[in-house]
Amino acid sequence: MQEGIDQKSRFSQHAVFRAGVTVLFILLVFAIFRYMSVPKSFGQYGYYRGDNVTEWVSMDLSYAPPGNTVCSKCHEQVAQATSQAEHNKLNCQSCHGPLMAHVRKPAESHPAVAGNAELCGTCHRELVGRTKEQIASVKVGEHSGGLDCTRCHDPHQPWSKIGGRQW
Amino acid sequence: MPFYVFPNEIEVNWGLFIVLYPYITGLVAGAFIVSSLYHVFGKSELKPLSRLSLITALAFLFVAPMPLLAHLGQLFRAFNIMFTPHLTSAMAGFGFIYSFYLILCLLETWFIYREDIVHYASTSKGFTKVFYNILSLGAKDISPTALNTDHKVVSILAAIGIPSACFLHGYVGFIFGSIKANPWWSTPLMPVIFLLSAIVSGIALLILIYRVSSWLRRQEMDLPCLMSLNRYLWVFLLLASVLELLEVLHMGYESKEEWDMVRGLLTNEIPVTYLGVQMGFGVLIPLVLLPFGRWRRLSAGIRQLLTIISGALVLIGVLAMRFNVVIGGQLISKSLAGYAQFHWRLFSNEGIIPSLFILSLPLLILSAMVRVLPPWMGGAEGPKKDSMVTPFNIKLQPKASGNK
Repeated sequence: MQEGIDQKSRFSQHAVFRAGVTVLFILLVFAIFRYMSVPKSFGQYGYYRGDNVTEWVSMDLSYAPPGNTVCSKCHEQVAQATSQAEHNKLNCQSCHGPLMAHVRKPAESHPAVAGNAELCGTCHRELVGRTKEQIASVKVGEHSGGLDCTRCHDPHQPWSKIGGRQW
Repeated sequence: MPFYVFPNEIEVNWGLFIVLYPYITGLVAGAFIVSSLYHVFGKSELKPLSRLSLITALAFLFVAPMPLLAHLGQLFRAFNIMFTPHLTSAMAGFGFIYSFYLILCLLETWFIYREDIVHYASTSKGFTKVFYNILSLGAKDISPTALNTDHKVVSILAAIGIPSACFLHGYVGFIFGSIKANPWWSTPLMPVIFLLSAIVSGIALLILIYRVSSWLRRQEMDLPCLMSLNRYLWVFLLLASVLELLEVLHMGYESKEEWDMVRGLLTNEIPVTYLGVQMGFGVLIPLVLLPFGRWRRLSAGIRQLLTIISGALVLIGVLAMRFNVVIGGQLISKSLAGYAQFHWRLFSNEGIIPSLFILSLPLLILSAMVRVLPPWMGGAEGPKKDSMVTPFNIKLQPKASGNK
């Protein structure tokens, strides 16, 4: 340790050089991590991972094509009934869930739908930001007393089981 | 007033951690500005705090991103925003400004302490020697020429540090100020308000840390240094509070459609934290007490006490200000027809206890750092031998470290 006498110390021992090298090292580590972390296809099409597009395309379809035309080919009567009532804007799969498997093999795949308060409450539960004028909302627990909504309401024609429209 | 909030506003998503983030970042910027007052502007009365303020800034800087990361939940995702930044999102700015500023602070600290580090490395033994040797990065030349270069580098770094500190905290204000959908946040004054309150909180923090550290070391506080802090605190507090009030006055005088909501927020939703803690305890009382603290007819003890009480009040006031901005802004529904509710939590994520833990971390780091790199400059009394003790309690030969 040559304290204080090193007037002609080599440049590589200068404080500025050592500090500079340390900072460059940190930047290099950052650059290496960045190189390792950013996916190769990032920016291929835009500000996202390009491979993401092909990955989505290659995924198996779970939903049938939107609109109810596919469903109404076989379930014409129900589709007709629904189109007359309040839920006519809904897609069948909104309540019945993804149906592509059923479309492909109708005999093997029979998706069940739970007509309970949890499912119906998705739209019909009372919320601060949702007024009754916009959508019929109830306190689901109190309203049904634990019964399934479908005991009184037919989802395809919500008021048909209880004597028609109530307002 | 009709009550209607959008469903996605029922929960206040940014909780206490996001309150701490601008608070801690502000303390960093403020403490750094104090150190620069000595290193760049040559305010020699602040010499006793020149090093302490810098490592205080550093200790808080280490913790500054922690509330953000804890809020994020997935820590390592924080790097994504730095790996692929985008000019249309100011959020990515924090990673870069923070990293730049951290490196700058570390460099400045290293250059300031280099002479001491080399000295410690030469006079200690065993693990301590290895530790200080690594810390010196092998740059052991402490000849007058080399030290002179160090001083020049420190001045340059400190000079770059001032705009960087302003950027660091101005950025935090910018993030809030640029949210145009929120009437309580959206103002171009926000970066300036944040910056000034940051300086205020940093000075107040240093007053308290100076008091506590002097008490722990059984040393007298340097009165001229404290009075200088008192003066700066008063001036910056005045500027910060005037801007904050101007902002509200301006909004009130314009009386645009959102004013009813902002007025309701200040008078009904957060009156305790805004009118009481932020403006009353945090601004009004210190603005009155601080000039008394400089009044020479009072005894030194009372003047110290007044300054310290003001410092503590200002620190609490600025924390309340961060709360009022971050939480207050989220209470106003975008519908401008109702207020969301903020629920205080104690233990859970973003609760009071975890927040207090994060707030105490910088102080723990600081207490460890002052053992590794003693910052005591000694104003009038000069460096004390006892203060140069390593973490391992090996007494070192004190060095006359009156310079930077």
